[in-house]
Amino acid sequence: MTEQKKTHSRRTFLRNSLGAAAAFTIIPRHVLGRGYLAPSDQLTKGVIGTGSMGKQHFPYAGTRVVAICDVDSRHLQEAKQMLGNDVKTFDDYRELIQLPEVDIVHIATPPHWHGIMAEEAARAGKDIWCEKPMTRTIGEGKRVMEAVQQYGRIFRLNTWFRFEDNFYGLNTPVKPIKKLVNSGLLGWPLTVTLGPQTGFDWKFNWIGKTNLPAVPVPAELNYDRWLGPAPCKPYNPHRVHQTFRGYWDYDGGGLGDMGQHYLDPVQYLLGKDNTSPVSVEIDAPLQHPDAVGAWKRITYTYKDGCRIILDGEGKDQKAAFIEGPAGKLYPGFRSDIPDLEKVLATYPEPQPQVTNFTEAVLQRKKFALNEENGHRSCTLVNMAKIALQVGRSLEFDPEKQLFLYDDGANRLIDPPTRNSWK
Amino acid sequence: MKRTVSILLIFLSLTVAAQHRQLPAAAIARIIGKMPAKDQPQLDSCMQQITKLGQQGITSMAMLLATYQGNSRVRLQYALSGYAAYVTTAGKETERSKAIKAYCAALKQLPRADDKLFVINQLQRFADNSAVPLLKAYLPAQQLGEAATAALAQINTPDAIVALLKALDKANSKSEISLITALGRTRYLSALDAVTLRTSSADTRVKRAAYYALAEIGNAESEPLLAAAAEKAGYHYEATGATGAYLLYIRRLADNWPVAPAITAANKLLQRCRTDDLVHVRIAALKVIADVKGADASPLLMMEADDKNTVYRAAVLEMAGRIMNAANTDQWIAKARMAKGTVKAEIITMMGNSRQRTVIPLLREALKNEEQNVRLSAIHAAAHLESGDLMPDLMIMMKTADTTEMKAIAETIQYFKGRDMSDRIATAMLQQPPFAQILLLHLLEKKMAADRAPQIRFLLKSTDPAVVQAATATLKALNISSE
Repeated sequence: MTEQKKTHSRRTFLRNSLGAAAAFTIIPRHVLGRGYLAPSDQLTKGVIGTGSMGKQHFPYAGTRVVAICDVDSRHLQEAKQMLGNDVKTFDDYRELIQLPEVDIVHIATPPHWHGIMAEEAARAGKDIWCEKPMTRTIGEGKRVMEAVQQYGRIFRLNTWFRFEDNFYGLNTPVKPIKKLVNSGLLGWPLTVTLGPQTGFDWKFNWIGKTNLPAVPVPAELNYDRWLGPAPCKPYNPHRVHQTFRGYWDYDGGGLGDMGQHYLDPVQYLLGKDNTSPVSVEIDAPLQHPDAVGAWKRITYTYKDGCRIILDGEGKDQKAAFIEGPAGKLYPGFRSDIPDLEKVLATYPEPQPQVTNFTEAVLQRKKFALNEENGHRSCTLVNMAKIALQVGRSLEFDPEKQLFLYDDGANRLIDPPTRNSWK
Repeated sequence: MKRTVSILLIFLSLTVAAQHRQLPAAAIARIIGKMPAKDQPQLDSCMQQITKLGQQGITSMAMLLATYQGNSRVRLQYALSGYAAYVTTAGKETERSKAIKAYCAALKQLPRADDKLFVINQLQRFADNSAVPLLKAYLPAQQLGEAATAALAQINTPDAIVALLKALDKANSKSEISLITALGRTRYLSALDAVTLRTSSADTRVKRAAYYALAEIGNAESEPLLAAAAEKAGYHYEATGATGAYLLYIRRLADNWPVAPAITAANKLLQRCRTDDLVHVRIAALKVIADVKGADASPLLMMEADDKNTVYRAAVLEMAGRIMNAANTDQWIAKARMAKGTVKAEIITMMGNSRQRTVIPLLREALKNEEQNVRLSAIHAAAHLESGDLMPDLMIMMKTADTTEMKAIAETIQYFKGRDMSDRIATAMLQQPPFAQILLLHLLEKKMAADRAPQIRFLLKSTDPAVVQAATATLKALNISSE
């Protein structure tokens, strides 16, 4: 499903459900304080990054865009034309964040900005909607989590498969699979395989280009600001906008693009929202220092023996999506457990989740995919990126969030960044 | 004769030298030709071959950056960055040490800035203190200063930090921000004076960087300055970042011992930031205290849970939920019993989320509360406990509940564990009012409770047509005859 279609279905859902939610707790505006609107009103938002992703997120029920920010003046003008002259425009995200009338900061920039902007928005007392992947590094993720929790903010990471929609090629939502995992019918530990054979395409079209020639920066783009914390490298259009994912400085190719979409629901299924794997093994060619390349197989192992296999090539055609000592589950909810549907019906439903962001903000409820579990599922992505960059398998301490006996890998957990743009 | 022997010796030595020069060149060409390595065995083999080149050979390889173009250059980049990562493997300390010298030698000799930048970026990944003397020379360089700053901040040895500190004196405003930020990252106490000086800069960006660096260093001496800056900012978010820096500073203070200064500072903010527009600052200050005190923060959190601001109360209860344990659950149960209305409902919700089973008697009481939001919070909390212990209470409540509560109860029952749950639902269903019966029929259908056919069929005799219709539909869905 495209992000655009997703926005519309979410909007419909919000329209239908907000009334009931509001009836549950009517909060007077004066109690909520400045910047918070009564449930009958709309929340206001400032969108940072008005490229294709940002524009898709202008409309959703219960919110109204009051400010936008982009370092590309062409994007900013196009967005302003869509939203009307009342919307405030900025090329520095800090000015948008500073606006008292903004309730929610929506971060739709490339990932190398997510951590810095989310941390800053939390400090300004804003609630946050952040596109995936949550952060480009594990260190940034930790800081976002700390800032959101310190300032008491509501944070939503924008991937949704743990609570709605069919989970890609499985053609089934995650909820019944969670029910199955919770039931124990598959046994323990479990192995999950994410590859083309189970319905997950790793989008290797996002690989970067090497040896790009430097070309003049277009007048409409403030390239220094676009780079921000990323190292200064000569401009080439392939590095920015639609194709930035192919470069380690900004993201991590198909793994960065789809990784958290695919891995977050699996983390939820395995009940690993508060931890990380103890190892990541890779089978991959040597990676270029700048351009992201392809890989063959990535395997995560948790302390209890649960494994997640990212099968880039789909070599193991017989692999089940999820396999335990007592059973297997394949796409379409096919299983080797007899009468699975009937047996499973007798088990309790998985725990309820808060899946309406507007409701979460108004009623101060933790969103289903928040700063804490979002950081953990993004850590899965970032662990694999680091293993690929250092060209070896790694062991990880989930508590300290550091690699074991590997200085080279640990240097990529929270590397010093460029700061002159500040 | 002597002369002839001397000439012969010189000739031989030159030949050997020439062979030595050619051998690395051929080896380098072979290695680069295999780049990028396709898999781990090939990578390991190539990296071992690079090691065999020796320090000078590796320098020679890196020097090719000056001449290689196109695909050859890309392959060379693969080899150099691959080796930079390879030598950080545990047990490769000797190789790493030689590689640092080799890359530094190349850095010194490479003429073009973009090649030097590539090498500095690689050194950031693996260099140690031995690279500091060379890297610090690039700190003032226009194109290379920022990369050198990052590399030195990563190396983070006393020599590296002193180099950053010394460079600060001669820095322009752009590099000043980078250097101050790097010094803050290293939390280097001796940078305190130099950074403090920059807090009076006329350049807001420099001032901001200095505030945050002082916060990271977290020295007690900085308290008056940072506190005054935050106060001057009205504790709002603004361009100097003074409030955010002050709160970060308090957190860093709390990391140290004694923690009393951090608690004093946080308490001061709690008192001063009482307005609704500063609620996030107040929350942040409270979080510092809650984190420092751990479970001992419960009395304070209980007091704060009565605050008028909804956002603040929610944050208070989030903090309370994180430190909930067997010891303080009873205190919170007592607090919930004393509380009224929305506050009572919020505490019950928090306790449900924290999944302490000792809360069941409280929930049982709350189900009978006169206020609906309290009753609903108890119903939802029961869902989080997943236990059927409250099933009888919920079934009794359902008999007199309104439709909102009936729906909430039916929703909650779905989360209860227990093999006999269908049996309990079916038995209780017969005593319920029509709307509740319809909801429970749906539940039985969802649970595929075909073995509950007698109870479902019994409802075909209901005087309410909607119940009869629902019972008929459930029987059909479960593939059971009506007879």
